[in-house]
Amino acid sequence: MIKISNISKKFFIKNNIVEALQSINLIIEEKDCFAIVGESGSGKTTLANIILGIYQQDKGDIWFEKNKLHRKRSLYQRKLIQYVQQNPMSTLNPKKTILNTISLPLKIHNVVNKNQITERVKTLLSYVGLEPEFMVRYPDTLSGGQKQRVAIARALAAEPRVLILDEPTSALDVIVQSKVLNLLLKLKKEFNLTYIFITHDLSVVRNIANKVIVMNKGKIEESGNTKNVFLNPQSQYTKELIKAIPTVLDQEDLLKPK
Amino acid sequence: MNIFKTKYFYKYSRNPLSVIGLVIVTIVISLALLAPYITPFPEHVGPFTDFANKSKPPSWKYIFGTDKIGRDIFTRVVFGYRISLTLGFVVLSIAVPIGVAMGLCAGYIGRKTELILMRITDIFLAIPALVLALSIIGLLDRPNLFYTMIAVSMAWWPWYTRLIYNITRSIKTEGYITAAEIMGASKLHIMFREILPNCLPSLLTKITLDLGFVILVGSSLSFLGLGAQSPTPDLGTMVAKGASFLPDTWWFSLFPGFAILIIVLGFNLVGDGLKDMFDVDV
Amino acid sequence: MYNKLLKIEDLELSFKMYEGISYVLKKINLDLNKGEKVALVGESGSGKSVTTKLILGLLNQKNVTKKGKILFNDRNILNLSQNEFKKIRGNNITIIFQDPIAALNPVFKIKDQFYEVNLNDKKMSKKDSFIRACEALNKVSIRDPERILESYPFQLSGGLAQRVVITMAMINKPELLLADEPSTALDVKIQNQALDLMDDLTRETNTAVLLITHNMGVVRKFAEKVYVIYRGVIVEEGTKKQLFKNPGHPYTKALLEAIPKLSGDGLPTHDNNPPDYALIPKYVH
Repeated sequence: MIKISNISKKFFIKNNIVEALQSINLIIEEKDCFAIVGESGSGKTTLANIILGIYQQDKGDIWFEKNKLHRKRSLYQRKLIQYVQQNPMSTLNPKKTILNTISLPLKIHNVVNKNQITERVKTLLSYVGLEPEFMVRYPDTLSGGQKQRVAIARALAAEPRVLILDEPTSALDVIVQSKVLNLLLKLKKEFNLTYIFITHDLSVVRNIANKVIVMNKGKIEESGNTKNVFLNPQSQYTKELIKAIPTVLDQEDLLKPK
Repeated sequence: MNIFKTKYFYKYSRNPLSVIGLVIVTIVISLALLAPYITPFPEHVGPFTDFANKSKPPSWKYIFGTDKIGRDIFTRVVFGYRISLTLGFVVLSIAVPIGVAMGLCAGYIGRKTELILMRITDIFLAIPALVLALSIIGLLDRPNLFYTMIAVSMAWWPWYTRLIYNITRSIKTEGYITAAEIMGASKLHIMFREILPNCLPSLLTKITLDLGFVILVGSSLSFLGLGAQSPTPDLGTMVAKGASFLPDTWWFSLFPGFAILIIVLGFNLVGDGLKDMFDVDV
Repeated sequence: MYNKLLKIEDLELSFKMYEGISYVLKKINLDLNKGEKVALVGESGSGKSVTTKLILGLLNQKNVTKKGKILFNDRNILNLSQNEFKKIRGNNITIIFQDPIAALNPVFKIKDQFYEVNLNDKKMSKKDSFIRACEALNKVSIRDPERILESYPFQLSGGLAQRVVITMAMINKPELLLADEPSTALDVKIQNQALDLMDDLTRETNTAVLLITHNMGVVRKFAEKVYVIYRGVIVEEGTKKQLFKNPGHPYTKALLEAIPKLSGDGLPTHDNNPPDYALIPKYVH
C-alpha cells in the first residue's frame, strides 16, 4: 500500500552533514500496524515527516497505491494520510474550541455539508469516548489524555485510510496511555485503518504492532514480524534495546535476550 | 454573562492601578460620547465669541475659566477629548490592519516575502514617529486634522508588523500549525484563522497602550500648529495657544494639558494591566 | 529518631485560585534514612513534584497554604526564611530535573556553572573551581572534561548533559539528592546510564535520594523503598520487593497492570468507572 523506495535525506547543521536517512526501503501493507522504532537521532521522525510531506527527500520515492507522492500533494492525497502528533499540549490551537478544531478537516475536505458539521463532530467525539459537551470547551481545560483523544478524532474526521502516529502516548501517564492505546486499536479495527506507529517505547510496540523496523543512525538495523524480532533479535543493537526496557515483573526479565 | 465575574477581570483587578486606569478611561470616553449633552456651553465649540467674558478665571459658571475670546474652556476640553479619541481610533484603524497583515505575511509565507516586507518595515521603524509624521505633513498642502491622522498612521503600522511578525515566527512551528498544514489548510486560513487568534492578547494590549501614545503624538503635532485648525477644540492646540499667556492666565494651558495627561495615563495603566493579565510582552 | 534524615509529617498544601481552593497535598507522611533510596511514584496531578518544591522552600506565594512539618535532621524546614534556605540548597539538599539542558543556563559555559555551585562551599578561585570540576568529571568517566567545561549547554548531548548535571549536584556531597523525573526526556539506554551514575555517586557519599517519577520500571531499577501517591494522598508504602511482588492497593495494581508487557499478551482492558482510589485506605506492608 505504501512503498518507500531508496529514500535518503541529509541535513546541514552548523557546517556538519547529518545523514538522517540512508537508502531506506520498506513496504507497508494495508491494515498493518507498522511500527518504526529507534532512539532519538535514529531518523524515525525524519522518515515520518517525509511520508507526511513536511520534508522533501533528497533521493528516492514514496509510492501510495501506485501513485508517487511528492511534497506538493493533492488535497485527496492529504485526506487519505492523516497525522497524530507527539505532543498533546501543542497539537490543538489554544484559541479555538474543540468544535472548531475538529471541523477544520471536515471543511477542507468537504466531508459533510455545512449544516451537518456539528452532528458529525458529535459522532467523532463519541468514537473517542468524549461527550458532546466537549465541543464548546477550549484546550486549556482538557487533560493530556483528553487532548490526545481530540487529536485522534480530528485525524479521523477526514476519513483517512492511513494514520501516522508519532509517539502518540509518550507524553501521557501510564494508565491514560493504556486507555488511549486500547482506543487506537479499537478504531483501527472499526474503520479498517493502516497505522504507521513511530515510537521509542518497545513495550508498546510489542503489544500493538504486527510489523516493526528498528532504526539506528539513519539505517534499518532489523525488520520483520514483531513477534520474531522480539523473540529472536538478530542484530546486537536490537538486543541492547530490548535489554534496556524497564520491566516491572520478574518473569518479564526472563524474556530478555542474554 | 457578567463581565465583572469572569476569570479575566479577577486577574486584572489584582492590581489597583489597573482598575484606576480603567475608571479613568471609562470616564473620559463617556465624557467624549456625551459631550453635547453634558457640557454647559456646547455652542462655544464652533465659531463663537463673547469678548465680554474673555479671559475669566475658573468659577462656578466657567469651571475651567474662559479663553481669550470668551469660550468656556471646560466645554472645549471635553470636546477636545472627542478629537483626541477620534484621532486615536482612526489612526489605529488604519495602522493596525496594515501592520497585522504585513506581519502575518512576512512571518509565514516564505523567505522572499519575509525579506522584502521586513526591509521595508525596518526602514520605517528607523525614523522616529514624530519626525516621520512631520515629514509627511510637510508634503501635503495645508495642515489639518485629517492629514495629521494619515501621517501618524504611516508612522505607526511598522510596530504592528514587527509585533505580529515576531509572534508568527514563534508559533509557526507549533503542533497545531503543522497539523493544519498537513491537513491541507490554505496559507490564508492558517495566517488569519490559526495564527491571528493567538496574537490577540498581545495585539489588544499594544493597541490600548498605543491609544495613549497616539494621542500624545497627535497633541504634540497640534502643539506645533499642525493639527485641527480653529475653531475646532484640540487639546494640543489649546495648550500651544495658551502657552504664551502663562503664568497670568494659567488656566488657558493647564487644563487642556492636564486633560492630555489624564487620558494618556489612563490608557497606559489599562495597557499595563492587560499586559499583566495576559502575561505578554509587547 | 536520629537516623531519619528527612521526615515529612502530615504535610498539607493548598492553592487559592479564582475557581476555588485546590487541595494538592492532603496530609502526606514520608521518611528517608541516611543514604536510603526512596521513590515517590504517581501520575501527573498527584502532587509529587510540589513535594520537592516544598522541601526546597520554593512555594511562597500569597495564595499558598502549607501545614504540617518537614523535618530535615530533626529541624522543621517548612517555613524557613529564604536566607536560611540558601544555606541548605546546593549544600545539604540538591536537585536534578527532567530536562538537563533546560536546567542549565544557556548563556554560561559549563565551567562557570560549576563555579557557582562550588562557591556554595567556600570562597574559591575560578582556577581551583575548574580543577575541582575536572576531577569530578574525570571520576565519572567523562572523557575530555576540559572541553566539556569550556562548552555551552546546547553543545552537549542530552545524555552527557544529564551526567554533567548529576556531577554538579553531587560535587558538594549533599545529604539529600532530589531527582525530579531525571530521565524522562532521555532514551532508555541513556536513562539507565544516568540512573547507574546516580547510584554510584550517592553510594560513595552516603547521600539519600528521593526519586520522583511516574515510571515504575525506573522505580524497580533504582529504589529501595517506595511510596505511591494519588491525588495528594499516599496510598501505598513498602520496600521495592514488597510492592512489586505483592502490590496491595488497587491503584498500585492498576499502575502495574497498565504497563505494556514484553510477553506481548496484549493491552489490559480497563474499567470505565474506576473507584476513587483516594478513598481506599492506605496499604502499608
